[in-house]
Amino acid sequence: MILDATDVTFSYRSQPVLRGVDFHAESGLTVLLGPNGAGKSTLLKCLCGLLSPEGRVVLDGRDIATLSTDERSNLVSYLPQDLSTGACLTVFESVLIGYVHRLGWRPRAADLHQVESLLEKMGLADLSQRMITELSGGQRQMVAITQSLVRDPRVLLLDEPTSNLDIEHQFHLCGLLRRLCTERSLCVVMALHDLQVASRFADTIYVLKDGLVDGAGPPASVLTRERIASVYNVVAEVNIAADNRPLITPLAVR
Amino acid sequence: MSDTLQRDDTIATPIAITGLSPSDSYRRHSRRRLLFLVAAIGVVLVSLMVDLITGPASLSIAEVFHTLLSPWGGSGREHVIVWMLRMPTALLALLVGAALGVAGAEMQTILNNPLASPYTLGVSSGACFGAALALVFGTGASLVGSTVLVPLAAFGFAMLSSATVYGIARVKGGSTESIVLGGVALHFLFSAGVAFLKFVSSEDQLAAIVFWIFGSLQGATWPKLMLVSACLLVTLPVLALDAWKLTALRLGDDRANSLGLDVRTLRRRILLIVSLLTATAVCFVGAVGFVGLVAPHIARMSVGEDQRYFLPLSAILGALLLSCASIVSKCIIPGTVFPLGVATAFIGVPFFISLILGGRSRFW
Repeated sequence: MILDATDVTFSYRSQPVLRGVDFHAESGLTVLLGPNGAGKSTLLKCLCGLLSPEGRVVLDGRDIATLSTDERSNLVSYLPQDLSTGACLTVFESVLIGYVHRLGWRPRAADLHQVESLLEKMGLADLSQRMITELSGGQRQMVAITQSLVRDPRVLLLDEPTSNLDIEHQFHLCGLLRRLCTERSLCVVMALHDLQVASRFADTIYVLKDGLVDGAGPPASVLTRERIASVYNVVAEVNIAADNRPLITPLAVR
Repeated sequence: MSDTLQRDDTIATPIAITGLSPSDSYRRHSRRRLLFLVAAIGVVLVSLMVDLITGPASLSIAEVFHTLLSPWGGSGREHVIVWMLRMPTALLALLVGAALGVAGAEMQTILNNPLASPYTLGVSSGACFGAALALVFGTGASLVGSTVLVPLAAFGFAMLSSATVYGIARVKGGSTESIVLGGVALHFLFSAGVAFLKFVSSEDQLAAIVFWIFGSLQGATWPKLMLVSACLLVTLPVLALDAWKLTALRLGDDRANSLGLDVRTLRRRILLIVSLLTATAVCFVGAVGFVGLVAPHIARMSVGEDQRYFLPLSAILGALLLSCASIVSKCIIPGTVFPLGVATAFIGVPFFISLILGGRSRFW
């Protein structure tokens, strides 16, 4: 699955947020970095078709604007940053809702079975009858990802999925996403703030600044001392580890 | 699988206790919720019977049952009391309660706000204003005026209020904030209108306005029952078809959109249905507001928010609450029918607070 965006421009009212962004992602983990307000969340919403920008977003050669809602939501799944909900639903129900487009009054046995096997695969079977409101931020994140995966999408867009997680769970989640990329040939694009996590797990990094792409490529070529200083206004020490991934130590605000 | 989040081991989970697979647990809980619905319907039927038995005319339980079993069995005093007076009143309580329960459940769903009720749209205030307008300027003492014009005006202004909120929401892209703020603004506008009408009305008209606003089932007739029934019959299947979409809507707009739902269209469609249900209910019985707030809450605590169970239980509990209120309104002062809105609050509020304070665990 190839996701291409060309000259994507978007404004909220008259405030430009994206200004001619070109973007390309394939199977693997692509990370969007950039300071607050750089346009990461807006780009994700444009990529999944929730916003209609100027320019083109193309999914395997098909313009996303020409896809039906069902086609689009089957191919691309987007998880917003804010997953808080007061809904009185169990984990099982919440994942089952992933099939909302085809659920009848009585869900099919095959769908229930599929939900069950996915919950087991994601390590959530024991939580299946717990209310989602009772879960921790990390568990809720996992439930939301499981809900997205139930339709077997080709592209998964995640907006700051690690923002509520401690370091252990950040690594668990990113490791899991990498495995999904391999096992399902999934194209995962996620917005992050943590440079170290991005450096550790990303195949490709896009750095956004003021609605423009400041740099794109493998972590080692993108996360340089100069770029971190110019984009984040932070002085950082950058060393390249044995696996050719940068180790970043922020030192001071410039 | 190594790359999974660890669950909180300090909290026992149902699967650990029961040993059932997740899908079997889900099926079992679905069956339990269905049983709960059936039991709730049973309680409503009992309440209906008690409502039919209760009243100022001293009919024994045996006389009421005998009359019920022979609906075409004559035109005697018992027949008139049971079939022409008590039955329409008791059934109207059930139907109006069900309509308000459903309307409240869907308002809370589409606005993603547990404080929402059918009256968030300003429907109740619009209805009160319409009724007050008819009572002050339109009816005089004529029978047609009091039985037709007042509900008609109440319905018309209730729908006008909804239409205005709907229009505001459409202009603002269907956001929940625009719906709530539009509804609140209209509520204050119509409340001010009612206050003005009270100010300029005569003593008799003022009493009539106050009585209408208190709410009453005493004007129940079979044709009114037909109208409320028709409204429910038209709207409930539409809501049932949208059950899964409405459940998904509770995950938030962005998530629902990403799952392929047209959230704006769905929200506007439900808004229209809620308006129709509320306006139809309110125009016949007055402002009985508490039902639409509390019935969905109790339903949510009992069966969760899968709309296949949440929606019917909200209707059933709304019906039950108003039926109980009807019984209480006849019992507080023997020989007098106490205002329905007050009786509803007297029953509903203590029960509701006890549920909140009790920290009640899920039934299912």
